[in-house]
Amino acid sequence: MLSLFGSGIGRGIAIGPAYVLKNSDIETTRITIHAKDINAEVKRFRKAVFETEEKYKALLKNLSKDAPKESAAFINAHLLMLKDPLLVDESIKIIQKELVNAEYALQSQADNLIAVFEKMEDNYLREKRSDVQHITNRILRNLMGIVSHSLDEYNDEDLSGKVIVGRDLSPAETMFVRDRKVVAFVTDLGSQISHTAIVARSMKLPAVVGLHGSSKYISDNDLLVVDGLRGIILINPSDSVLKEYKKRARKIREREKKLTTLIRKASKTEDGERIQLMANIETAKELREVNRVNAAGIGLYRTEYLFMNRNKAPTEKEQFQAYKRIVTNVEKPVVIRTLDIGGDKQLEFNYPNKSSSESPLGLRAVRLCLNHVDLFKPQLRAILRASAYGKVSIMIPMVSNFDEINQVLTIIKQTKTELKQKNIPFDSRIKIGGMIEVPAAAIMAEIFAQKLDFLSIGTNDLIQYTLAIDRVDDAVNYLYDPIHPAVLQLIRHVIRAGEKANIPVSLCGEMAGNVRYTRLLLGLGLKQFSMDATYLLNVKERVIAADTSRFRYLMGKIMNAENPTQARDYLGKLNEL
Amino acid sequence: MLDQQIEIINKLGLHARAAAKLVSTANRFESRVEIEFGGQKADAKSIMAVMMLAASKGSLVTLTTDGHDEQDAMDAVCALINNYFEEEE
Repeated sequence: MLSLFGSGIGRGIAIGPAYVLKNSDIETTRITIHAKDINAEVKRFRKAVFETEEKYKALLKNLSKDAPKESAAFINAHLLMLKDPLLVDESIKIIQKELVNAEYALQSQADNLIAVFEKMEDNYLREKRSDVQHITNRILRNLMGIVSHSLDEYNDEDLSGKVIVGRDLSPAETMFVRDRKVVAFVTDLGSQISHTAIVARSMKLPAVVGLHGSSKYISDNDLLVVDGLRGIILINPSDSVLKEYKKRARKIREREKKLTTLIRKASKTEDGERIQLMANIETAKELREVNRVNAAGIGLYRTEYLFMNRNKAPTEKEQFQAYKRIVTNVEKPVVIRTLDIGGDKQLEFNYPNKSSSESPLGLRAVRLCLNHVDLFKPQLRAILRASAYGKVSIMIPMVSNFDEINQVLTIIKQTKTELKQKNIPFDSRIKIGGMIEVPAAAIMAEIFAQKLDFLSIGTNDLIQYTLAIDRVDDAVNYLYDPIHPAVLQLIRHVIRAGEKANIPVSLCGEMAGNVRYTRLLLGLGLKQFSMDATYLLNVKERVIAADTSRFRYLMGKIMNAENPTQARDYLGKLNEL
Repeated sequence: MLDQQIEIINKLGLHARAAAKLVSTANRFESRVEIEFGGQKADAKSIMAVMMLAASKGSLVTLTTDGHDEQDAMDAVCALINNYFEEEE
C-alpha cells in the first residue's frame, strides 16, 4: 500500500478503481515496405479508417437527446473529414508511391493539409488544422492499437465507479465526466480553488489535487481510497485499512443525514442576525441540490458553461431559454453573472483578442465583453428577457474602474430601450451589481456602491490579485492565504461601503463555503453568503451556532495579527468560542 | 457537363458547417461535382478542399457537375446555397 498527500476537496471518502488519463502524443516513424506488401498496407489503412468511422457513427447514435445541436454537427463534420479523399486517397497514394507504412503516410498527408490550413487568413478556418490532427490521431490510434484514455466527446467507456487520475483537468474535460458517475478526482496539479476543485465540489465528489506524481504512482485499475477531508489517497490498501475507510465513509453519510434536519430551520445567528445563504451554480443540473437544501436563492450563476465546448457562441434565444429555465425552476432571486472568460477559462470558438486573454491580468471578463459587444449584447438581452419570469439581477465580473461600470450601464440601458420598442417583456427595475475581485475595485467600493445596486466579493480572484499569486500556478500556491490581513481589510472595507450606501454585499468565493471562515466572515459583518449548495448546510450549522456579539475581541486580534501563524491561532480560537 | 456561377449569400460563407452540408449534398450524386473560386478548383465531395477555398459571403463561385445525374446534382447544390445552407442567420 502506498499513500500520497495533496490538497483535499470535499468531505467525503470515495473508493474505486483508478482510470488514468493519458493524452498521449502519438509518434509515427517511417518504415519502408516492400512493393509486394503495398496492398496489405493499404488494406490495413482502410480497415483503421473504417473502424474509426464506426466509432464516430456509434457516437452519433448514442448522443443523448439533450446534447447541444452543435455536438451532432461536430461529429458529422468529422465523419466527412474522415472520408475525405484529400486525407484518405492521398495517404494511400503516398503508401503506394513512397513505399512507406500507413502511419507515416497518413501523418505526412495530415501535415500537408495542416500546413494549408495554417496559412489561411480566416481565424476560424485556420483552427480546422486541429480537427485534422484530431482525426488523424483517431485513425493512428486504431492503426497502432494505442489505448488512449482521454476525456472528450469520443470517450464512450464506462466510467461509473471510477476515480479519474490525471495531470490536471481542464474545464472542457470536466464537462465530459459530469454524467458519467465517476466517484472522485485525483490530479497532479491544482489547488483548493482550481477548476477541478470547483467542479468536484459542485458534483459532490471528493478529490485530492496538487498531488505531484500521482499519475506516475497510480496505474489503471489500482484500487484507490480518496479521502477528500484529509487530502490523502491510498493505493491498493490492505483489507483492514479498506474496512476502516468504508466505516468512515458510512459515518460521513450519517452526518450528511443529520445535516438535513437543518433544512427548514431559519438561517439566523444565535444573537438574531438574519443571514442569507445562497447557492453558486453553473448548470440547471445543480438546482436539485439548491432546492433540496432550501437556499435563499442563486447568488452566482456562472454563465460560462453555456459557451464552452462548442464552436460557436450560443444564440440569444438559446441563452434566454437556459436562463428562463433556471429562473422558473428556482422561484427565488437569481443573480446571473455575465460572461467571465479568459484566464484559465478558455472558449473553443474564436473571438477577437482570444490569444491575448490567457493571463489572469489580461483581457478577460467584462473587459473582454466591452471589447466584444456582439458577444455581450445577446447575453444581456437574454438575461433581461429572462427577468420577466422571476427576480433576476445582473452581475458584472471583474470591474476595475468607474468607466467600465458606466459603459456597462449604458449598454444595458440601450438594450432595455430596444426591448421596449419591440414590446418584449422584461423587469425594468432589474438590479445591476458588480463583482469585487480586483483590489482597485475593493478600494473604490464606496464610489462603486453609488452606481450599483449590490456588490459581490469574489474572493478567489481578490486573493489572487491582492497577494499576486497566479492561482493556476501551484508553485506559489503556498502563499495563497485567505486570512492575509490585506485580504481581510479589503473584505471589511467592501462590506462597510455597502452598509454606508445601503446596498447588499454578498461574498461568493470559495471562502463562503468553507466552515473555517464562517465565523470570521460573520465577524466582518457579512450578511449574504453564496456558495456551492453542497456546503450550504454545513455553513448553516455554523451560522446558527454563532453568537457574533462575542466575536469582537478575537476579530480585532485576527485583523491585527503580525503574521499568518498568529492569525491562524486566533482564527482557531474564534472557531472554538 | 454543366456549369453555373452562383453567389455565396449566407453570413459565414463556406465555413465548416456549410461546407459539411455542401459535401453531404454532393455525395448523394454519382456525378463529379466541382466548385471553383479564386482560380482554385475543389472537389465538392471533399470537405477539406471546400473549406480551403475560404469562400466568404459575397463570393462568386462556379459549380461544375459531370455525370448521368448532373442536372439533379446542380439543382440540389444550387438550392442549398440559395437557401443559406439552412442556417439560422
